[in-house]
Amino acid sequence: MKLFVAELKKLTRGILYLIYFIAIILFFMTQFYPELQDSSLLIKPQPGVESYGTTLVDDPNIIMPNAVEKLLLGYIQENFATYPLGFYKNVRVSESEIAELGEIIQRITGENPEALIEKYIAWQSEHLIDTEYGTILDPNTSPAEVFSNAIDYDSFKQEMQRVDDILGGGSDFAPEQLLRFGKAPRSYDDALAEYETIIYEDKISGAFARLFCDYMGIAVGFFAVFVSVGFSLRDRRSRAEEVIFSRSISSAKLVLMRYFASLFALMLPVLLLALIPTIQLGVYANANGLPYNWFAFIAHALYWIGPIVMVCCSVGFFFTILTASPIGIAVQLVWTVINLFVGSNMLSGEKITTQLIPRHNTVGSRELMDYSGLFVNRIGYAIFALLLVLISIAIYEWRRRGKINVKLIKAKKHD
Amino acid sequence: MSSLSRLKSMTKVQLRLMLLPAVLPAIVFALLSPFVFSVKNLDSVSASMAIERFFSLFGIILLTPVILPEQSENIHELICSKRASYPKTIALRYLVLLPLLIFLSTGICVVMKLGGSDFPMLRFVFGGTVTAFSLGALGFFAYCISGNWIAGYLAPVCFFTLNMGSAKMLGNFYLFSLSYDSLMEKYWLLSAAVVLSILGILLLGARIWKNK
Repeated sequence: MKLFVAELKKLTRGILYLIYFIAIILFFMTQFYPELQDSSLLIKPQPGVESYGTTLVDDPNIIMPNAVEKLLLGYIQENFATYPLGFYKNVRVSESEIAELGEIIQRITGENPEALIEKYIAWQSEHLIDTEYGTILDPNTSPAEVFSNAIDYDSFKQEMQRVDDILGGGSDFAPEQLLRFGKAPRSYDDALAEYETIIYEDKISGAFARLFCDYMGIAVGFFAVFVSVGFSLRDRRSRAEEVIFSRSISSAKLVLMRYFASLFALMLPVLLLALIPTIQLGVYANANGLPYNWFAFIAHALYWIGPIVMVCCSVGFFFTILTASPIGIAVQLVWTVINLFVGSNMLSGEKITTQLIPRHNTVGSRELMDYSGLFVNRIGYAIFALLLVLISIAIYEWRRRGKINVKLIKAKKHD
Repeated sequence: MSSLSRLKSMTKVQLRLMLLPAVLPAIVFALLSPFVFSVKNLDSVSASMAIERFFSLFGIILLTPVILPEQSENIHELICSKRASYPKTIALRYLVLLPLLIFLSTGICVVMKLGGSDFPMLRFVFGGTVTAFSLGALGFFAYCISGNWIAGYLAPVCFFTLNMGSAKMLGNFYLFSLSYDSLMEKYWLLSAAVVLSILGILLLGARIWKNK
């Protein structure tokens, strides 16, 4: 315990931790806190209101014409935007691919693509409206007026898969992405159901806690590894490495105490910030006689963000102990960036299975949250982090005995 | 040795010192980036995203480690004991890297243009250079003030991450303003970058003066 406190003091007194602490607070204030002030979802919807917002519906009658419209526009321009690794990629299709896309359009709509283009342009020109932003297509129209469906939805999904294959993957036409084309006005019943889920199932805090974890997970994914690597390199920097190596303390105890001290220190600002929405929403719930879960934010922070911190720390420790260099920062940053960009297609908690930083970038939408997948994912990453720490302990022991002497950066030039 | 030849000689040495920790990694990053983030047939908005949210990160790689060669206390003391002023040497090293910053930014824009992208070239070269410069200057300043090179890299990464979705909060210091075709923020960022760079160098000088 004494060692844990000593390591914790060393860690929290450094400039790196101060920057980390401030960065986490700023990230919270600029990303999550403004969303916390929006209490519109906590107000019971009333019948007869003009608009209840929009939602995504898995309705073929909405999805199919919207998807065909986008496909036709790409067909005309002969290029498409895709996101195969989460990064933007422009795909310019070849003549044979254009021909194949034309055949797909014909099979879906039952019409020749060239004739369809003329029909679409004529329809567009009839539905243009002038706004302060310029001339745009009337949002109250639907491309279903132009495009008919000559095939059923299952066949349509197969055709879309073929389109996605032609484009090299990562396009909006992949069957799992088709829901994006299902934007529709939300009904009063849908809005009421959403409200009741937030109030009675999520007990208010749960609905916001997922968004909190979404944002704070990103912050921790970017910043935590700097602190853990800086902390691990401290011995080399202060030229105390050889002295510490010669001490009688076991490698396991030293590494584990440092690891747990890092976990505690890195989770501390997240847990403290979790108290702000806990109290703010709790006061609102009490004042309005609504049910409330006082532990949702803390519980979500621990099981959602905790494994992220565990992995970032263990990656930092592992690479630093192995190479005596800060290369762990680069490794973790690349992992975080790839996770975020790949996960940008899954922003509502679905398909969490392999993401280090699970995403749920919306308040509510509990029905989209894959909690069972999240559970498996979090346990998996926690186990991975602990295994990495065990390997780090073994490497540290070998370094102490002089069996490993990997140094990517020479001590005399760069500490 | 005349002043000019001395300056030339110092410039070569500074460039050589920065080759491994800054120049080569920045060039490698710039060369590999188009393979990760497509640069073909981008419209103005997509091109601005490519330049500001991805390619400009080379500014952190290029400018943050300017004082890394003197990280070791022994080397630092040795350098400070020399006749050549240490802050002026750092200033020269910094100035040597700035043309490379402009060159890389221009090169990326040229590659995007050759790939059929459509955007105003000069505005984007300026915008991309300033974005990279401001991130690098922040890293340099953070390194100077903390004496910790990891803190030097952490500060611009924090600022970059904060810019995701925080346009209103950051006001005139918002990094990604090319997306809505605004250069006003770039002038503010350029001013801030120059101020941070000068402050960093002055801080180094003040430390030496204090130790004397």
